[in-house]
Amino acid sequence: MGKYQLGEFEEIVMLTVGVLHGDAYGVSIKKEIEERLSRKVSVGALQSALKRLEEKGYLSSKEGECTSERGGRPKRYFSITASGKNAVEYTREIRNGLWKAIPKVALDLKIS
Amino acid sequence: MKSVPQPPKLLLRFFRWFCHPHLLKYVEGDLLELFDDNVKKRGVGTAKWLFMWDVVKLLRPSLIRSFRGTYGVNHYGSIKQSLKISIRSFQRNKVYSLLNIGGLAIGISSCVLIMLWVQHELSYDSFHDRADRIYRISCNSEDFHTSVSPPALAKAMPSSFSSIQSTLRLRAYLSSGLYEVESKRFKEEKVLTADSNFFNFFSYSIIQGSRDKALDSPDKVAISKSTANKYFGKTDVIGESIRKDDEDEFIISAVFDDIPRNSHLSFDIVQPMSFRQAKASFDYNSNWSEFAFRTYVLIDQQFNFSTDEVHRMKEGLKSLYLSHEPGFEVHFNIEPIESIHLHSDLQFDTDVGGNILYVHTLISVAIFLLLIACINYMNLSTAQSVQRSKEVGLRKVIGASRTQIIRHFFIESLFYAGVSSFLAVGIIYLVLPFFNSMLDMSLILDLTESKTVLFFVAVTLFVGFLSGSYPAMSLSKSSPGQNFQKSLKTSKSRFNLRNALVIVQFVISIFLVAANFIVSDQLSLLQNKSLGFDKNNLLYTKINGRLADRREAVKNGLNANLVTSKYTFTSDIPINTAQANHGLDWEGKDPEFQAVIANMGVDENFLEVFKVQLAAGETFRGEEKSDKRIYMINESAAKIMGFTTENAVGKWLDLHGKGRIIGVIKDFHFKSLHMAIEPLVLIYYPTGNYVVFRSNQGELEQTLESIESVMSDIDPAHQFEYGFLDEDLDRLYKSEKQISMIFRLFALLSICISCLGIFGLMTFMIVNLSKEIGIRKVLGATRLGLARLLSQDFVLLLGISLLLSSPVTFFILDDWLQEFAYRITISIEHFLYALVFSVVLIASTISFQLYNACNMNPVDLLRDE
Repeated sequence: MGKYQLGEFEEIVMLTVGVLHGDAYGVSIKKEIEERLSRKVSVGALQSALKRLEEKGYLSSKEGECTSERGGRPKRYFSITASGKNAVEYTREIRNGLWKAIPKVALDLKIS
Repeated sequence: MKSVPQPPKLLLRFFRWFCHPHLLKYVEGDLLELFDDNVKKRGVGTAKWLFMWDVVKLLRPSLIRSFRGTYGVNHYGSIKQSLKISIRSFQRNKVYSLLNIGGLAIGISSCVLIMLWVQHELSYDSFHDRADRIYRISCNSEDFHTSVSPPALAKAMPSSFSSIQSTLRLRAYLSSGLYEVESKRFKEEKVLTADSNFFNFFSYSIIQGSRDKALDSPDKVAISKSTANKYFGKTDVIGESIRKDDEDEFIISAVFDDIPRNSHLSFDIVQPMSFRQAKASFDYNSNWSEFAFRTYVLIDQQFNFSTDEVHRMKEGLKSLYLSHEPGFEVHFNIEPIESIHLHSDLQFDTDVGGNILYVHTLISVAIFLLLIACINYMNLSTAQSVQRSKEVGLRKVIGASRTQIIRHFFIESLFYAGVSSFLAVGIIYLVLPFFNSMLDMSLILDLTESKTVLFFVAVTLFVGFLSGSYPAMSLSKSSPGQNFQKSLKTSKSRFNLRNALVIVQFVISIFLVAANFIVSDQLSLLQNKSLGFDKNNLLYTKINGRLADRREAVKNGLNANLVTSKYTFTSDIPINTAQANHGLDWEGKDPEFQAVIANMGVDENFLEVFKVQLAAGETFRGEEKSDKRIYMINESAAKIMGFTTENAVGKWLDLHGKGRIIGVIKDFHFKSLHMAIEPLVLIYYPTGNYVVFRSNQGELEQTLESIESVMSDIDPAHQFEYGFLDEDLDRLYKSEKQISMIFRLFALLSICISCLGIFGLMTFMIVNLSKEIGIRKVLGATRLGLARLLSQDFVLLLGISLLLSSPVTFFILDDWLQEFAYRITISIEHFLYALVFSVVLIASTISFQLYNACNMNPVDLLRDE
């Protein structure tokens, strides 16, 4: 993966943050992933992924407003940084490259 | 309003505890939002389950609280910071810090020095392998307590008591005399005569020869390493021979290491008991009346020697003795060997001077000194509190808790204590040689011994925590607002505590100083008390060997010279009369009455030479035939025998033979002044081995030379050895003198440390009252008035301290004085001396500061604000 290290779950989280653009915080990310991918995401797994991504510099976060519904706790909104964007794009290019490199026969055989 | 379902509280608290603080609020928010969501969609029960599941899954290394840094369990960071601040404040206030460290270092080093001495005192005879099972049998008749016992006792004991594994008899210092190897002749005083199991019984280490055979025949002798070096220049001397008094020849059978200082027996030569037995007039194994032996017993290992058993054995010994010597009741005591030095105070003992009272006293002095040093630190730290309170205020504003500030001050005080301990080690190494030579000791500070290091660590911790406690508590108490005020308001309670500390310091110091005056007064009483004879210019020598055989020639030689013509032959030197008998009978004696009365053989010149006065009757004339016994007694003896001074003359007395009392002499002190004058019987005995000379004032040298020339004319090989009676008398009070010296030294130190504290306190007061001083000056106060204002507190404290310490001093010292038969009475003067002494020292300490404070320009004091 060269200079950009991104795991499968991390990639999904990054993309979801992009999808939610401006409204990406813990619960919304979790729900979005669960909805689109039909898979369970635990708070712990998500938070540690977010923490890792932030440490790598792919995500940035800022504290949001306090609302009464969350027991007065603020939300933490995430957004993709420039380096995060490069990372996602890089991953995509690698995937695309790989797709293109697969001979047709291999795929056909698999299909049939 | 309907109740909103809440997530499980316990789980939430658990989560809050483990979650990383940076993430806590966001994740907690997420959890709560999800919970609410789930409650709506799936009901409360499922929501709680899901909540729990989420919390459990949050337990990941990346999300939980870090164990390192400020959130962890160690305080490395804050300790490092506290240390840094301590060093900085040290540098900022060099004078205070040095006063502080100086005080603590003096306190700690004094304490350790004293403890070294105490340890030495407590270690007596503990080096014997079986020290816990060795006991000495001592005895007393009426009030006459003595360390000696009859020789047959040791032989009879094992068969009478099953608990006894073995016994040992000793005679101490009987065989002193001139020893000779080729041309080397020395007088040896420390000669023991012992049973052949001596080296197996005790654990003195042998470097040459065997333990078993060292003393197994009359012609053998064991000598110490340094004695071997003295005579032969080497220690490999087994089989060499040594002559004693030109009469007897011994073969050296063993060489032992020099006897350690902490042994109650001190000796250079050990002779076999069989040698003495061969020369003795009575059989050692059956004699019950000659109280001249020291009996030691070893208790069997399997035997539980309880208090009851000790008591039973004492009773058994009493009846055993009565069965052999009917009519003379002797009480026996059983002393553990390790307690002989400190707890035993007997006549004719081999070890004098140890006293548990002194040990206790000096332990208290050591504790006092530490206490004073700690109080000193407290006073000096509070003196700096104006500056430090800003620091504390700032810490509090930033968010330090009280515990953290307390910890900070403790770290600082521990830092100071640690530095002081290091300094103290240096001080001790420097001072120990002086201390040793002053006390005639050989103490060493051995830092490789874990006990010593542990003691240092313990003292450091003690000092650190004790001295840090007051500053830590008082400085951390106030609120940040108070801390930033220009000067600290001294609240009433605080002022009292500090004053209490000062009073404690003063009380201890005054006690030590007053005690000092009392002790030195008592000692000068001992040295200057009229003894009933003139101790000055009396010198004595012992004649033995060839000289003793040619007594007449000696006499003629001495008579020929005017400076040596005043002399008397005696059997003993009065201050250490070694003879006391119980088999004494006299006219009209109550048969029930038991008396042990000291006796001494003297010739006709005794009264004249010693300048002892005759109370009644007449003195020996020198014309008496030696087969006819005649006696003189002292007034105390007359009293005990039921005579008056006048009617005692002419009565008969029986001691080694019946004879008349021809005279009564006035009481004179023939023993140490610890004891009252005891009854004494003088026997006419013209062939004593001691010669005592009365020299004319200022002609001592001449007298000595003349005596020596007379002696060497008669016996060219004679080694002239002499002693002075006044010096010997002084030596009797050696332990008192040493104690008083230690005491004086440490009393002085305690006052010095207290003065350091006063100095700090004065500074504190002046800083605190600077505005008041300024305003008073502006309004026209005189310097004298200001000085009085500033010092009146101290005067008051000093007064209170004097009141408090006087009764304490009185009771403790009065107790000590009871040791002496002749003692001073403690008077008000002693306390006045102490007061004057302390006032002068304190006044000189604070005068400089007072002078500065009173001469300051009011502008400097008042311009800020």
